Amino acid sequence: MTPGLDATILADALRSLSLPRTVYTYGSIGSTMDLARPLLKTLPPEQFPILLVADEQRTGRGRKGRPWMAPPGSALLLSLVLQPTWLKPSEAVYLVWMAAVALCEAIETVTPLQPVLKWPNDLLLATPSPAGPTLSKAAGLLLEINSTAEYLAWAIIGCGVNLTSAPPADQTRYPATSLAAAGAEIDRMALLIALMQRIDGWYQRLAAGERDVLFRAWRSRLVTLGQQVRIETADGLVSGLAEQVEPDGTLLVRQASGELYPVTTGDVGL
Amino acid sequence: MSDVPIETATAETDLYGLSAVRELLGMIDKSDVTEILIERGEIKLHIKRGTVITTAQPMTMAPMIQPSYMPGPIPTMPMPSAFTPEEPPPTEMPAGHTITAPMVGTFYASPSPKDAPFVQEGDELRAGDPIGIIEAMKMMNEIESDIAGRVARILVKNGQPVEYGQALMIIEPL
Repeated sequence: MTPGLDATILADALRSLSLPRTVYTYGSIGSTMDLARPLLKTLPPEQFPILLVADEQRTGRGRKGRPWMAPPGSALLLSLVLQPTWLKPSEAVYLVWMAAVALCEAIETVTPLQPVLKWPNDLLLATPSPAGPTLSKAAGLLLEINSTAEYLAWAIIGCGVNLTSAPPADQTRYPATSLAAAGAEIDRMALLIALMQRIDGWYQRLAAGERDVLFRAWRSRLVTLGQQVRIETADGLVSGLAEQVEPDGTLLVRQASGELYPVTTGDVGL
Repeated sequence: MSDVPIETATAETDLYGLSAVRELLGMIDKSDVTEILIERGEIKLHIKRGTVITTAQPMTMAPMIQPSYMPGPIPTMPMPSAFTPEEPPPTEMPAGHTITAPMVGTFYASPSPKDAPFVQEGDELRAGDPIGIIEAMKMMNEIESDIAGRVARILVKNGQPVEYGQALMIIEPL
């Protein structure tokens, strides 16, 4: 188990960045997402963005409320609360790309690993296995947002990175790994600082209008493109060739019938 | 699906290619083919066993306008109804404030599949109470009621894809 994070040391390390303005660190808690929500109503605007980091989450969750568990200190678990009121609701997807690209770049900064993305934002690492290197999921991102019809009121980026432990294969929908299993022992604080530096950079570029650059950076890491995929959608299981992503992030899957199926929501399976 | 050659010699006198349709109906009746789609330039002809849809001008053949497959004998030239698919009678909407989707995605009526729905018809709400979630690409947008009132009508189902601006619920102000 890596040592717990000290909020003062962390805040000092992040002082030169424009975000976060407030840092909370926790030992064992329910989930950083749940603790972040009340802060939106109690903290004054000048204390945003807010970073919450935990050693352990007892009720961590992924998509559709699926439990996300990790032994204490074995994962980087955080929520970042932003108020990007300059984004329209339809533009919130930029934050999905920003978080995913920033996390890939942060891992590349502090390890020799080469992360790729499974659409839209699962981070995969090549991990040794008896059958040869296998791309497995090492980190997941989830966003909770709130908007009016015109603009985003707030967004919470939730992030979980497996550092030294990964759930067994029979407990996950997709093969899981950790940075350690993929070949890199990494200090949690070092990765967190690298991640915040990357998010800070991309957030400022996004605010300055560099959306196409971010889109291309995200698309270039999508290992899903060009692969045969199976995706659970509202219409049932869709399978075919993942041909392209549209500028709004929609994944276009060429089905056996020849029709293109646009996917905006769903888990890409093996 | 099979491609079948279609003659265009009759196009000048038979603008809708009805003779070709008759010929194809005869062919489809004598075979196991259930569906034929022919495209020649701006002409599109789509025949499905049990239904006939044909157009003289280009148009998008959205799946939703195709009547569902019905086994059984081919009806005798159901052309008029095929050109104007029947629409369900208009449903009277209760008066009130409409909450619309702020983005494209999938609508969820509850926080997770094992939770109860945020609201049901008849429930009373305060402004700011959640009424559902729209998900797109791992983003969960919790939709709130912007007024206090009673849920008069829920217009979307759990798991249903929604478009930008689509009406989700009607709230009767109290």
